[in-house]
Amino acid sequence: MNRKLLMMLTAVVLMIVLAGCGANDKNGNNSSEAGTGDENVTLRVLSTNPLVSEESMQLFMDQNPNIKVTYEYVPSSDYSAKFAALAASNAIPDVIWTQAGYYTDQIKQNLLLDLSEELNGQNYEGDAVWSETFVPALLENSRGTVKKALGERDSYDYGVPFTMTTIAVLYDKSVYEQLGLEEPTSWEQFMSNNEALKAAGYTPLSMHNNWIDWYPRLFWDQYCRADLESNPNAFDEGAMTFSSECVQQGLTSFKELWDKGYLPENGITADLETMQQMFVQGKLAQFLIAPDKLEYIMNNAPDNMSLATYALPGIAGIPSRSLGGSSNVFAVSASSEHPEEAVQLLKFLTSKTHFTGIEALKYSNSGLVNLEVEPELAQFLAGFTNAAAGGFSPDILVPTNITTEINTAFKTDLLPRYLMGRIDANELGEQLQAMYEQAK
Amino acid sequence: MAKRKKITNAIIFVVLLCYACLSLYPLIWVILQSFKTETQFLQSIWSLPTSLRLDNYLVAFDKGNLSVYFLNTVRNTAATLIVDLVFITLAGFAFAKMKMKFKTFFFYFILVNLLIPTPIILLPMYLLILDLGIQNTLAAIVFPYFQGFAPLGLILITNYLNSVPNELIESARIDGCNLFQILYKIVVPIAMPILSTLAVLGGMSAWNEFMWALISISDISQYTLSVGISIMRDKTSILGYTPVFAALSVSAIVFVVIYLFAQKTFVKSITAGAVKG
Amino acid sequence: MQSTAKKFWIDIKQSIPAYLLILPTIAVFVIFLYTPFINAIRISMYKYNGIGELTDYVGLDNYLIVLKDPKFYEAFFNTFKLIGADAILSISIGFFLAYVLYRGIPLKRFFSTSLFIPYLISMVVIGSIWRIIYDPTIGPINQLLQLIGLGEWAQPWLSQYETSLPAIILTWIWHTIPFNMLIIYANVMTMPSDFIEAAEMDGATSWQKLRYIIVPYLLPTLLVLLLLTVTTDLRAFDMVWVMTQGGPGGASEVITSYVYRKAFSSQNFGVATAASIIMMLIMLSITLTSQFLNRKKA
Repeated sequence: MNRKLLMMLTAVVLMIVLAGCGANDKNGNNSSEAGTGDENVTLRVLSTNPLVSEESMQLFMDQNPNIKVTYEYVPSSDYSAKFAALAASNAIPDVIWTQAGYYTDQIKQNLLLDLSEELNGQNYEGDAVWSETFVPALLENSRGTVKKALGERDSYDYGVPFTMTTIAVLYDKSVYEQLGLEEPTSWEQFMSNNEALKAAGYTPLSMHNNWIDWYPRLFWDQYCRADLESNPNAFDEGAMTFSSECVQQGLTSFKELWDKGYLPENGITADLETMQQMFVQGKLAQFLIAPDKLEYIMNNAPDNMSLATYALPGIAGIPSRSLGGSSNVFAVSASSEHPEEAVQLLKFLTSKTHFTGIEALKYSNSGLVNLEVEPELAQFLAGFTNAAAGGFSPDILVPTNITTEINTAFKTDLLPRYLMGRIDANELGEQLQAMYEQAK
Repeated sequence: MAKRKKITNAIIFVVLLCYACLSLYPLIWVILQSFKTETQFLQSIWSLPTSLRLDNYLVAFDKGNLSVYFLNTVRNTAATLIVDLVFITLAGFAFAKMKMKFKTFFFYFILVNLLIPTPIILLPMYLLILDLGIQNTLAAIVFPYFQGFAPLGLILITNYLNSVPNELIESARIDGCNLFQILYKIVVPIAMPILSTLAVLGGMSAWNEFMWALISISDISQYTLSVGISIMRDKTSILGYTPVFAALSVSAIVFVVIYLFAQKTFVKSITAGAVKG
Repeated sequence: MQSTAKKFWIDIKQSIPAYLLILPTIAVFVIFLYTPFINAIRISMYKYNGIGELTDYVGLDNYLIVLKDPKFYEAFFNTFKLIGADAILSISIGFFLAYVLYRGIPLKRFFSTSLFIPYLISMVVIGSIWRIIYDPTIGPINQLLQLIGLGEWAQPWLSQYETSLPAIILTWIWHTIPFNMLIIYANVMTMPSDFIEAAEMDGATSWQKLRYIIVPYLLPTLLVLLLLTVTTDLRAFDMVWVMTQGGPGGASEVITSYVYRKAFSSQNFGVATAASIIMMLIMLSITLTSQFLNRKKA
């Protein structure tokens, strides 16, 4: 019997030993350490943006020796799972990356700190008012998203935009020259270019799984802009639905691109990587892309390619606006024990100091007014500059991305089915409408 | 007759050879990519590397932090294996060779796990390890992994031990061995082949596991290989794809090598154990 | 009456050593499986987006939502297609390979090693590689088809409704064959040689040997493999997620990817959990029925 007891004890001891070891490693998670006002503060940061890396954190820590940062990175595709776990356990890091659908959900759940006062204070370098360092349209875009999703409220500043995301078309000039094409200035010209590219054996346009909704959103910005500008609450009030003419028009135009074979046939499931390979191999002619993905292509494109960019013309002929804008947001958790320091880090992330201090940020558009881009870079990025000059389509226009649930259904289920001809535009509209009404 | 048999054999041999190529090729392909430059890779994924460049491995280990992740994964896998093997041996022996009231109940108590889809457990389990205060410790990795592997492990070892003659254990008992001695001196040596099989299977699942490691570990210095690789994939706009292939090669080759060594006992174990319902 | 009670306690008492041996495993299961699982059941009765406390009790509504969701049935049938194809193809091909190895073949060692490799590579890696293999523009399948003049057969394999699930199933089987092969091979090796010798004396052909001796001998093994196939495939996730994320438009959605999407992409944990529990109950009843029928037969 004694021996048996011993065995049991061994088992129990084994469990305890295993449970114990490693526990005395630095546990960045225990919020009980160092009360507020203490000299040394530890901030937790969650990023899914490769541009905000350990290097950025190191630079910040060097400049703010009293603040220690524990940095966590999750791949963007797993952000939702990671964030859900953190939120369910009330352990949201002090500073987090977020994005339209998540962002508004998080505000709704009171998870984010109201930053309106801080935005009226000094910026990181202390030489300007923080809110005034942003390109006005960018900040407007970010506030508009909140307003759209949550309605009128006291503050629209629960996060700050990090970089100004614009999308433009990247192409190989030599292909254009060979086929006698020119950068399109109208939609008709764009379409005839596509036809010529297709006839020459190219896949004219890019599309991939995560960004499958880009084209319809761009089209809606054209077709529905007037209606939604005259009445921004049209969807809320029921004056507009997903079956409204302009929404349907956007969908059918997208389907037309697909049916004509201008989009890659693997576009529904392929990822960005595949598009990059197709482009570098000269199989994809025009790549609708955001600037932070450019550097990679620039560095790896064969020498005989001569790259250039142009802004996509508007399908309805009105001035085109870009998607994106404030699509990367950094925010402070409402439950942060060190809000002051967390805001300090936020200021750093959106500062000139950060953008000039980190090599990887070279190609990204800081969205700051006090930062100039190198001239030769500026010329190459002309397409992006032009796209940004037209202003931004609000992140939430036709509200397919008003909640993560609708956004997921739209991008992974309804839109693919629609393209494959398994449902028509009417059914798509009705299903979206049903989900939209349920969400309200 | 003999001629026909020869032809059949030749055909079978050729079929098998093709199939072996199909089995080997993807792994070889990954390793080949890991020696290429980024441009070579992007221009053609089917070309051969021009030289045995190790740059990608350097990038992966240096910028991708692979060395830390690698050591973490080795540690996690080793600890998981210890728990897997010890617990499963104890339980397997009890189920196969000992008198136990409600044996079927307890057996199914463990087997039911095979029917529970993993994703739904993730969130409650995460809350649990926080309640227990074991986040970022080995325990938070080891026990969930054990829980996932135990049903398969138990099925295999119980079947194996069932085929061991009872007399062997009885005679040891008559010789005055106690339970612990029987386990240590008789069962473990006999079960060595199946234990090595379990080590390969359980080790593999711990080595490759991704979702739980990603969600549960909040300290980047504790991240595992699978998480590290997916982060590298996410950062390809900075690091490039070829270092990812280097990381994948490292991750994949470890178990191929272990298998090569364990292969003999591996087959023997199942032979001796003979999985029978 | 008293004696049965007494016998019961004696049985329990005699089982104590065995209980001690299974205690660690049972303890881990209680803490790390059943505790979270019971919480999961609780979650399935709430409308829960993963943030904060469970407050919004909805009873069985989540179950109704799942049962009314055509996507659930799609995922359900896709999972069964996967299980069916895997059970039939993977086990029979595994059987064939094992039999060939058993009969003896030149380079046997090389084959037994290389054929096992697919089982050693992680699902994520396999998924990433095969996704490229299937790619319509840069992948080899279509390039090969064009090369041999069958260009019109070229397809966007993973991106169209009809072919994406079959393509995934094929990759899945590629991965599972080696395990089945190994187990069958190991078991066929245990077959007493006098079985075969006796049959050969009687002048049995290869086919007859296979049909009347080897297959019946392996039947119990095949049943275990069937069980393992069903339970593994039921939880298939990583590979599907890497290759298509259940797409296009749900064409290759399986139960686990459906659950994952509901939980983490749509942040609807209640519905996700309810779906898993429904699936689990279905599988449990199938298992129990087959057990019952088996016993009745015996």
